[in-house]
Amino acid sequence: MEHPPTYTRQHMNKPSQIHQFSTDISLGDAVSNHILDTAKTLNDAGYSSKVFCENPAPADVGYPIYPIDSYENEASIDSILFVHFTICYPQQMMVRLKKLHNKKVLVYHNITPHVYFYGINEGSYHAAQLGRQQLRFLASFIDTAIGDSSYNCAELRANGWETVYQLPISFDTARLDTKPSSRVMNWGEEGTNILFVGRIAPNKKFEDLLLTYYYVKNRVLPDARLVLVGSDSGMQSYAGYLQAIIKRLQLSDVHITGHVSISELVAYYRTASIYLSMSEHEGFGVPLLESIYFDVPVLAYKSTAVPETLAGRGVLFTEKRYDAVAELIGTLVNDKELHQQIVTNQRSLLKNYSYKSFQEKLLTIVDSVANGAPTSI
Amino acid sequence: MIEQNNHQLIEIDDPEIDPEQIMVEIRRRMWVERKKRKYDQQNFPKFGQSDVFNRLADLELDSELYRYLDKANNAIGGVDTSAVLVDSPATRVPILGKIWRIIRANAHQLVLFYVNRTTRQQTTVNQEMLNTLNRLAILIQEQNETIEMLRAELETSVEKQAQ
Repeated sequence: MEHPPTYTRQHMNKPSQIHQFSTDISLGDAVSNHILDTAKTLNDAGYSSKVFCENPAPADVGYPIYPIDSYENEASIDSILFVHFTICYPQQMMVRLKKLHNKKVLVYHNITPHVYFYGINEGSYHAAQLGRQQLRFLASFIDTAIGDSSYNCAELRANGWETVYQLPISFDTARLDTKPSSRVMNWGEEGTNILFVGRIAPNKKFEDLLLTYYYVKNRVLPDARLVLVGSDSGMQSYAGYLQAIIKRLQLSDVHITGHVSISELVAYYRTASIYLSMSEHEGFGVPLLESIYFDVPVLAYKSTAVPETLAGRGVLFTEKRYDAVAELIGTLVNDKELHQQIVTNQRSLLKNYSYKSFQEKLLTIVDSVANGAPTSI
Repeated sequence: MIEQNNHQLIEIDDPEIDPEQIMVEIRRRMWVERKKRKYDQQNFPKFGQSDVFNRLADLELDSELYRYLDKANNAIGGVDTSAVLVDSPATRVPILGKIWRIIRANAHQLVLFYVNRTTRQQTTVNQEMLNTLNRLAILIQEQNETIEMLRAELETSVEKQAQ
């Protein structure tokens, strides 16, 4: 019978290699950007840093991605592996991770509670359920973890981790300094655009966005448009449900864009009048920061890590009263003085999430992991 | 005027902005709008599975039907299929106890694997049936309201004709 590794608190030699593993890397999503930014930062700091992936990555992500099968050649006792966890791993991957004897650090980006997927995507339902079970199991052989937010860190501690570091997800604004798509700019320059950015998933509560928009359109701002930017991959039945609501409420000017390029995304932010979030589960919330970067006032439902990400900026609402939220949107759009005050206040948040501060925090954590955190032997 | 909640609906952490002042104006506008549209008494429909049962509470359902649906909706989430194994005196015996604990846990997991598979399928069926019943109850009530409205219209036109 294989014995689980025992852990002692001891110093590693300074690691020369810090690699990362993730199930997927895709173009433009926040976790993928975070992984690539981590790799670049570690490389710049003198570490050898490769990204290993279970599923093939797109060719144009801008950084070499290696298949996980090739990782065993790189694993040495003095290397560290950052294991990114977003939903769940296949069983053989859990076994493979458990067998690795080098230092591993779990990077937890939170798992959407499985109940949201009930009746929408059975695969995601079971994967999210399994993921939470695996989170507890991972604590038995990975002793150190990183959470994007204190909300995520609290969940890690509740699942058995004692050594937990907080590292906000990377927010490199250079990525957003892209020429906006002229097609979207021309389309969006007139009228009031209410924007939400995020993959079409039930925890984001798109139905609540539509119901609020119903009131906005019919009572407050007849020229309003609702712009929903995000992919519906794997969530076609939920997207169908949203279309049914749009039809039933006879909503006009709802634009569901699907996946967009970075220049289109920038244009949607630049033409947005307000950013509205009805999401009920967020482990962090990068689009909130992106809205702030583009001086778009943020109006968000107070849930999970949203208030922590905003840290007192923007406007939070505590109850989903669609008519009241619609009137609030009208106030934020029409009251120029209030609009400006909120935008000014929001802007001060960006220094907390500067790319430089992300890099410093990351390297401090790496130093701490190598020199004081529990190490497997 | 619409009801005012004791807690704040909006939170703005900026000394330059008074959220309550904003809410006073929003409440006033909502009240005017609702009066204008005669929406004072009307609840906006809700969507989504979790909201379906909440809607039943607002409807004038037969009390027995409501009671049974209430019981069924409360019972549906209570299926626990995880193994909770408490230590016994046998598992506290040095060395052998540890082995016994592992054998016992694995045996439980094996049984649960098959039980869970059946239970999960049955729970899914139950949930779908319950959602169907909830939805039917709402549709029945909506049809009752339509019947009442048509009956009232019919009575009015009969009265007019009689005059």
